[in-house]
Amino acid sequence: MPDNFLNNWETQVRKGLVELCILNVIASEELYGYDIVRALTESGSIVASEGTIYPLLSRLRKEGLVDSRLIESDRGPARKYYRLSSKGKNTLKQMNNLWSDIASSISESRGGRKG
Amino acid sequence: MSNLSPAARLIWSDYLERVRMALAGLSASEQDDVINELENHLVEETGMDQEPVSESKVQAVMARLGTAEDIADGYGITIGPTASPGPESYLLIVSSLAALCVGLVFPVLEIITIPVAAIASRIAISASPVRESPYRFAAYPGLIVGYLALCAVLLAWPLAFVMPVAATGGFLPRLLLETGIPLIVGSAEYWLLVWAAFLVVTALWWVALARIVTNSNLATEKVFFPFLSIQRKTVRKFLNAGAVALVATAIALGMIA
Repeated sequence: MPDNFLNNWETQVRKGLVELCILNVIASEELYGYDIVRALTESGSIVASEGTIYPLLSRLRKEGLVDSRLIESDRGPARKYYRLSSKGKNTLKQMNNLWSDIASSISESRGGRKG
Repeated sequence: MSNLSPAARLIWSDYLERVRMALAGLSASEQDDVINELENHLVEETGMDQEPVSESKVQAVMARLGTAEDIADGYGITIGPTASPGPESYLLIVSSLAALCVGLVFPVLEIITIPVAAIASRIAISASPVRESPYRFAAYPGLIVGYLALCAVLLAWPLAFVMPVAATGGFLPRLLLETGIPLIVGSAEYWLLVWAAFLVVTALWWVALARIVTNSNLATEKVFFPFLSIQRKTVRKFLNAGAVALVATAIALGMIA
């Protein structure tokens, strides 16, 4: 039972952080949708199915956090490349700060308990 | 596009259709975005293969991508049997179907009942957390009327064909005479044709309206799906069966004569 609880908790935490991971992956370079999925899979950031990333990208675009452009491909349909918008850069900065605060608070509370 | 085997292509098309259905609450352009990304994903996973991509390989890619429900979940759309429409949705669905029935029984009122039913359907779909359930089908009056119209046409078209030909004499008039079908304007068959034509016009209007108010091709696709998705093998079976039936009828008529 505790393992089940831990798995559920981990899934929920990771699911909640996927948007942050996506934004961080495209923070430094413009990436193609499939490359983003690969990067997240390799870093172990995806606990759900790979296909869930595409709707999230669409939603982030709708929110104005990422910009996208289509580039023709000779291998299949046109590829959509994503990069952070200026709004996305600001939001990512705030999200990373918030995450650092949360991580620090947790570390402090753990330290406090030890002390 | 990847070089898919026929079976793999069928599985993949079906998968994409289910994803599109699961995302039906989104705009058509958002649905297209996700579908294009999935197409690209498949190309990246399988595109370099020289041999046609097998069914099992496509299934493996699909397993990693997740179910249509998983993908919709990534957009925050709740799907599944655990969710149920609220009482408002039931009320809207019932109102929509009632308006539809009133319109069918009293065609004059359709100018009012069609927009009412369509708008009520759209509100029911928006209000309901269920995106994939029998309620969803019930919420699309366009589908129901479309099917009714197509059934009527399928029943009526042979009459439409034989009526003008009947005057010229030959095999078909003989067939009609033997089966006792009268060819009189104002007869039951005549009114069946008129009613079928009326249903066709109504159905087309409903389907167009469903397309506009739902901002999705789902209604149109589903109404015509049996015809668009029909396989060559199935067509051949129907043609063979039709030919056998025709020959058998001709022989039987010849024997009677």
